[in-house]
Amino acid sequence: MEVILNEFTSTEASEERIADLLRADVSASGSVLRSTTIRRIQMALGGNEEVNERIVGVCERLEADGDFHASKGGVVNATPLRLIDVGRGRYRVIGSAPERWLRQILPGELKPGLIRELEVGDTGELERAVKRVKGVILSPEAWAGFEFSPEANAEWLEFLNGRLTYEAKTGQMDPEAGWQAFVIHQDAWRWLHSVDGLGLWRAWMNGYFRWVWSTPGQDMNAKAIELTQDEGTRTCFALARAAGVAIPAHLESHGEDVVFWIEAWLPRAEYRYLRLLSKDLKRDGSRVEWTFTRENWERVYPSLNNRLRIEL
Amino acid sequence: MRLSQLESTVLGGVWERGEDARLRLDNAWRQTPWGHWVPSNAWLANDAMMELGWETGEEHPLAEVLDSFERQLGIPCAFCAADSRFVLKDGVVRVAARMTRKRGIQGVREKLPKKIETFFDGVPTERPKREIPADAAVLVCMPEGALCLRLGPFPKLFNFIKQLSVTNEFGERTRVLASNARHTPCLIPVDAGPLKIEAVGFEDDEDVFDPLSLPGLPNEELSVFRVNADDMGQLVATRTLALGQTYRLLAPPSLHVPGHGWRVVSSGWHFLEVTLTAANQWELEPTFAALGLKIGESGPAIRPSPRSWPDAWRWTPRFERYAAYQIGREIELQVSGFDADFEGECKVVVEGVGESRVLELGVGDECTLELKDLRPGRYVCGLYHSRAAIVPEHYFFEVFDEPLALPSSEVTIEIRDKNVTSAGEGLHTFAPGKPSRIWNGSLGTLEEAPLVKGPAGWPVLVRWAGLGRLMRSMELRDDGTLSLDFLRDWFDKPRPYGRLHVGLGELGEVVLEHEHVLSVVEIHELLLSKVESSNWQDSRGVYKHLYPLWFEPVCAYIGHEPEFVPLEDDPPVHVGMIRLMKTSGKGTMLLERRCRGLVVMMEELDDEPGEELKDWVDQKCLEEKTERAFFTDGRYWGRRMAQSRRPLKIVDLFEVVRNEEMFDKFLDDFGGI
Repeated sequence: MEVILNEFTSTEASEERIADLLRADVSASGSVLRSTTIRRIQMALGGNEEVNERIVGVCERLEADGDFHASKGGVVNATPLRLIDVGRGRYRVIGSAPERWLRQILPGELKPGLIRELEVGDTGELERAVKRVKGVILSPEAWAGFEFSPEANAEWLEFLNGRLTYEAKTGQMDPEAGWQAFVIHQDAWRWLHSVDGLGLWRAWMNGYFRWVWSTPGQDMNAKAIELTQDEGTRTCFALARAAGVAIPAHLESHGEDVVFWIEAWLPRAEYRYLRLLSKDLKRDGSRVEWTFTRENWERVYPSLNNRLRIEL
Repeated sequence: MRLSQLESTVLGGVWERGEDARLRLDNAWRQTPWGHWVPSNAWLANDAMMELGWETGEEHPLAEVLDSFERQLGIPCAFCAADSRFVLKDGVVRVAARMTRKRGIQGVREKLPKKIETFFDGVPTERPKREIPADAAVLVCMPEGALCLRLGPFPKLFNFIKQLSVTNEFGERTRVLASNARHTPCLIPVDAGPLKIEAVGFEDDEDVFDPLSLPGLPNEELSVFRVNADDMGQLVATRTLALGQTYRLLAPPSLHVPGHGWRVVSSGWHFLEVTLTAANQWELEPTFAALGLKIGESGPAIRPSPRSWPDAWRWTPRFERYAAYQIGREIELQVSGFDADFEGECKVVVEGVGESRVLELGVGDECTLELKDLRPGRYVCGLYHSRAAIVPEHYFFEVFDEPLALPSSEVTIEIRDKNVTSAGEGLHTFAPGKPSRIWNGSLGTLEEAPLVKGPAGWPVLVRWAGLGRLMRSMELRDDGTLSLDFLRDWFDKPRPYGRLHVGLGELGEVVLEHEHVLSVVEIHELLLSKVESSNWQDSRGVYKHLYPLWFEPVCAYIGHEPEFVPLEDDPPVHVGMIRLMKTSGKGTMLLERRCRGLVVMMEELDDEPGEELKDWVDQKCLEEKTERAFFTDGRYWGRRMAQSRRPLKIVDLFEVVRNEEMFDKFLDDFGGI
């Protein structure tokens, strides 16, 4: 055993470094209170308020990107290694394993960051390495969940109407809750109070929207089924597609990149898909701006168009 | 007088009379080096007693010791009780424990192997009964001032205790699964008032579980919690707070709280969290002084460096957390807060696996230690300061040579069917990224609830596609399992057909196709028992009442999904109506639910129904897109095809259930199988 005494040197508190420390701590713990892991890193970095805030922000980002899974009681959990094949021997690395672990496990060149990328020449070697640690390699579509989430089209509406026959109940909508009906007005979708819309309803309750589907043209007393947030947003796109209405979206060229914005909440699978393949995203209310490389945009647009009928 | 005295004790009476007497003016007394007084003619035995070489814990009656000296020396002897080298209690004297210890860093080094063993292997104190250990129910303060009861672990809790309850001062009970608190502690949000912990069902049986009462937080004074490395505030009695530590303070509503930063939490309590640093101590001192708190010396700390973060956090049997590193790593530790004024004032000892290293720290209050070439095993890094007021700090860690443990992405579901007739019984592995249909059979008759296994904490979405709505968002437990127990309740109601989707996001989804078909023998048994037990006939004509009592179960037994139809138009005679539905799969995603017939509930069916009623029923059949209508008063049943001119052939259900041949024919004509 050798013990060496050194002068104290502080560690840089970049987002990238913080992310790796958080991943290391969550991996070392398995499951841990979010506040505990954040405090440990805050104490280790001995930073000021600004650094402490940054640590909280990075932790939220890692949860949103799938490196951690948040569960009840403010607990964050370590997650398995998932590699998403984004083409040309490049993989997005999702999981709680820190860089030091990944370098031991995986072949190829690892690009650190908040979202990590791996470049590999020999995919066979990579597959064997991932299998050894019981990880998984997925396509972007499988990662997004396209297999589980139907396209927003007439078949989706038929499915909802089918559910009305066996799942519907009366009294789903409390008139006091301020329900808004989905309507198409002047070639755009709108949410209006006190009208009978196209069958989709929403109401803001306890910090989130409750969604309900009923027979089109009927009022709030009609038999209806409750939808999840994902089903509700998917239905907006399906109804707009059925009415031939364009979704407010726009594309701008920014040098090597393109910036795409849309003023609507995307269903979960499509959101995950865009998030995976985008370089950056900015929010402003319901408007979200996504930055893509041209190459990725070529891949993203046909999927978006097929699944949600977003035309530019 | 053989025992030393305080001057105030000897002269107390004299001073009370107002006389200015002092023992130093009295030749009969002399002062000991420890400030007490003994008679001038007595020989002070303390130093000689130190030379006797008493062992730790060795006790002697003081009178006997002094007698022995007096016999040897032939003069009176005295003992000074103020000498801190000795402990005198009830006339028995022993050498203070610290005096028999080996001094200096050498003594520390000799004790470290034992310290390592105690830390890593020490088990919670054995108790004679299966009672709650004192540290198994404590109040802790979590971030944002949330007060929680940390309950457990109770490794010796009887297995038959299924739940523990925590009752507050208002008699409100919170229940906890005993299994959650058996091997690891669990946190339960509580109020500041007193609490009582009991085993549910054994509240009066102290031999099974001794109830424990916690007094709660004091209502008149501040409660101080020191935040540990797990971000849990532990209640401390001290009123001297150390620099470098984080504290959470909870003040009752009755206490005025000075200064800024306090937040009101539950029931008017005030909360403040503060980390004491050299920079903020002067600013905080007035606030703290007003609350009766003092800021003490800095406490040293040893922490993992961000440059070499542990590979695992592990727990001792007493639930103390320690770091573990994979072999081959260079471990860097941050040492801070030791505040050394001169070189060597502070020393670090690293001990473990039969090796030991000592380093003298330089002037300052922070440095890093780099540890290399560590063999697998358990270690401690201890920091010792020359100033006795600064307590030693220890960092325990382990070096392991196993491979790194990543969570597995493999997800399985285990289905055990007592009938072993369903397709796909057994263990199934999810296919990542896509849904797979793995099973069909009756989920209502499973021997055990399906068990999902996967990464701990992973979200599981269970969705039912079929009659009724079931949507459960859950998580795999800490041990990576989840039993779908709630399905038992779901299948308490008859559910002939549906699909159960069990989704784990990108790790896959399985679809279990449920179809529950009763055998002819089962239908016969159910109908026979219904016929023999019911007194439904008293309610003839009250269809809303009769429907759940008689018609709904009978229709369900013979294979239909009945639905009561509220009639909006007036029928020609007083009848009720039931829609007989059938749900079936259509493609991979869709379900189809169609009307397969109508039941016309009548008061009496002893003759052919009137033409007007038959026309009305034919119209209803047209609206429901079905051709079949069953006329029945409950006992007698007749089948009619829409627009048919043939009279009803009426059968008696009571007779049918007692005749095998007629029963089969009845099922063919009226059943939905």
